[in-house]
Amino acid sequence: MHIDATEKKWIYLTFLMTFAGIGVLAAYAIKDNIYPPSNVETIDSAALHLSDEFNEDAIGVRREKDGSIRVTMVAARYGFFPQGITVPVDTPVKIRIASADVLHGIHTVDTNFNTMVVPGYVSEVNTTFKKTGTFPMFCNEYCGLGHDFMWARLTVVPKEKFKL
Amino acid sequence: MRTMRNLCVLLAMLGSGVVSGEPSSTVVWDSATRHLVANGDPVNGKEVADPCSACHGETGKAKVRPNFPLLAGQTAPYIYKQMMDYKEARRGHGIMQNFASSLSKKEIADVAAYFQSQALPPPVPAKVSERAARLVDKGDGPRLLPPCSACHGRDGKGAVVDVPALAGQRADYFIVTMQAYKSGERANDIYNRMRLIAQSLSDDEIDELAAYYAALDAGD
Repeated sequence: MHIDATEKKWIYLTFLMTFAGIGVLAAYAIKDNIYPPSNVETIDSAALHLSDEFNEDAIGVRREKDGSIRVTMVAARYGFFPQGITVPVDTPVKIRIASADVLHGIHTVDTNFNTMVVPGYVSEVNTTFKKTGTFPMFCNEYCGLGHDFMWARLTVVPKEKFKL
Repeated sequence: MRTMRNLCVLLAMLGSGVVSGEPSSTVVWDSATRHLVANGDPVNGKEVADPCSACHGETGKAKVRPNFPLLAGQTAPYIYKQMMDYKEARRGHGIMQNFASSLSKKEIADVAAYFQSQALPPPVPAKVSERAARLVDKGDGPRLLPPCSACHGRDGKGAVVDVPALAGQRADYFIVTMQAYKSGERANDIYNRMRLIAQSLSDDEIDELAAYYAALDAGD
């Protein structure tokens, strides 16, 4: 089959651009430790407030026996609960979040904490925050008329200043 | 008779209280509960609601005391949840807890259907502040306050699952309720949702929002 030389050039260029794009994404994903959340665990969203893990007294930040931090959160129209969490810098953090109603997402600016929160499932992210400071967290899946107002705050503090 | 009733109300208020460390509500909106509430029988509900008329009026429009809400046109799931919260002592009020305890879930669903079938209370004309209108339509981002209309509707008719209608609600009841959320005296909102909002609002803003909703005409 005859392919015109100019056409061939453009075909090669298209492939090159596609693989270069994938390469850039892969490089960033590896550098910043970004990966698709792979936790598949179901929960009854309607009765979330009565569950052992996500009841109103259980949510929040706590330290595990191995020194790591565990954060339990709930997304519900239109807010994240608790509204503010504080964690230590350079410490492994396991964040588990579930929705009490519809589809939500949570993205934390300047960090790799970003996951969908699908009703009926528990989303889990394991990360280590490298920078101290205050970072906004917001819902990035349209969930209703109050979606724009679904914000919370992550504060990362030096290890010695972290208290529970 | 009136003195007796007032005494009962006073005792009920003194005796109210919610146990901490327990879930703020045990109501779960699973399909069985949704089905039960959606199929409430307003005819039976009217009969069951006979004792309610002393405080709330036959059609839920009586203005007896500031802490007695207008129930006409209120959404059935909201009434159901409140009655179940009284029954399970998640919301404090002795008289209401006694009434709710004596009713079955089916009877509560019927009562809820009856009050929902009534027209919303007529609006009470009032001067509406710009600040209240802005909070209702746009909320306040820096304070993480979503617009009231996001959940309660632009027309104030409430929404799924158990968000109450606010249009035409008497202003004094609105203020009593929001202040109760603000102080934590009322705590049957799952995950503190209304308590967080009420705590972010000033007393003046609550008063202005009360006037806004009392004056809101939900239309047909």
